[in-house]
Amino acid sequence: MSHLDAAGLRQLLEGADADPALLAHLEAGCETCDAALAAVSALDGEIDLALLRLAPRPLDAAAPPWRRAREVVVPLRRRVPVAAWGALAAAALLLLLVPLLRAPAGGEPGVKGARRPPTLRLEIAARTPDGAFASVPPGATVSARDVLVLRTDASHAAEGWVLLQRGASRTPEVLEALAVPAGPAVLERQHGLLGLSLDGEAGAVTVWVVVGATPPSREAAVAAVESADPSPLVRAGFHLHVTP
Amino acid sequence: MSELARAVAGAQRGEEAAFRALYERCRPLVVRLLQGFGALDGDDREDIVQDTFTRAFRGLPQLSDPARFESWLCAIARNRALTVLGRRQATSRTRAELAEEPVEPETLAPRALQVELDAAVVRELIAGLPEGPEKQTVQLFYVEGELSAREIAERLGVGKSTITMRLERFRARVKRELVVRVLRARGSTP
Repeated sequence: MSHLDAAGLRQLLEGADADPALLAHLEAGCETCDAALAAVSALDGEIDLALLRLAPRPLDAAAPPWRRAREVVVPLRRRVPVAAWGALAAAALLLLLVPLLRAPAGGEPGVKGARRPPTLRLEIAARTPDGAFASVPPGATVSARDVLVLRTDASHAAEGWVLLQRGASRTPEVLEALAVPAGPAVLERQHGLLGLSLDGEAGAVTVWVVVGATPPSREAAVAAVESADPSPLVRAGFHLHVTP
Repeated sequence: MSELARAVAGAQRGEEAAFRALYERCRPLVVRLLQGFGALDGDDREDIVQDTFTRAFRGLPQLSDPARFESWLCAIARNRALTVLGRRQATSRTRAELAEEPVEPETLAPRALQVELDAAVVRELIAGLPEGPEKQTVQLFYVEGELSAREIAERLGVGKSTITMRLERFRARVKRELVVRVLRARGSTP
């Protein structure tokens, strides 16, 4: 009786019928065949799950709070390393706000309860892995190791979304919600600057900011980017080319 | 759609609340799985937990069946633990080839072998074990589910790696039983 080996196991996994003699051999128990099965990872997940579910679900008293875990486990493009925020904040403010302060935005600041969509301008700076900070002109080439910081200049405060579109025709990916302040500002999230990682990206991409007179839905923001038709939402896009 | 599938779908859309729900729901499962490796200490386990979820969340767009998230997560955790431990199984070329491969959803339990592993089947297998150290270890770790491999080793007065080996030997039995049942069912299907 020949034992199960890697090649035979692969054939079985791919749907080949088992020789009845082999089945009987397996049923009787064989350490050599068990070792061949153990060497292949197929079914490991299902088996572990079934075994771990036998006991009541354990508590996890030592778990770190979510606000700490999220910094590690949530996909990279939504994070900037905490240690970089201080340097990002200082450099970004210096680099991005000074030119804008010389040319104040138009619009009607101070109008409460304005329901008209804002006018919106979007600019981008890139922080390179060596810590340098540079304004990025539209259409520029950036590295996938760079982190982008967004600067807007809006006529009045609004809420909306940041999206990333790969190529010209693909459905944009919604990255996160944001609040755009009135006037020139570097975009922030709750814990600091909003930094977009380009890790894993390559080729033509467009960063979009979409806002409205009232906060748009995620779906409306996607539709506003995808459609060439006039939209009640305001969209500002910034085209880049990413090298791996 | 189950609560789990809804959370997976939400995370695939990038919703942070969904990531959090998956993390808080499934983290205890991953920690418990890793507690079966006596050679891993608390810091090792925590690193592997974070690594597991990072990989799973990054790979979510490729998961076509949200209902398989937990089994996929377990496979990633096991893969990462084995990579950390640098362990290679005896018959070994296949494991050596696969040890560093990413656990893509589509490479798990190929369609030819997809099957729900019933708790009753597993309990039957445990009950059918001969009385002795392996059965005692399996009952302590999987059925009672409170002690880690290290704690069981201390209680039974054996080495940590002995406990892990007993658990792995039992897992191999379960895998064999599962494969046999599926192959028999396939053979009897007209």
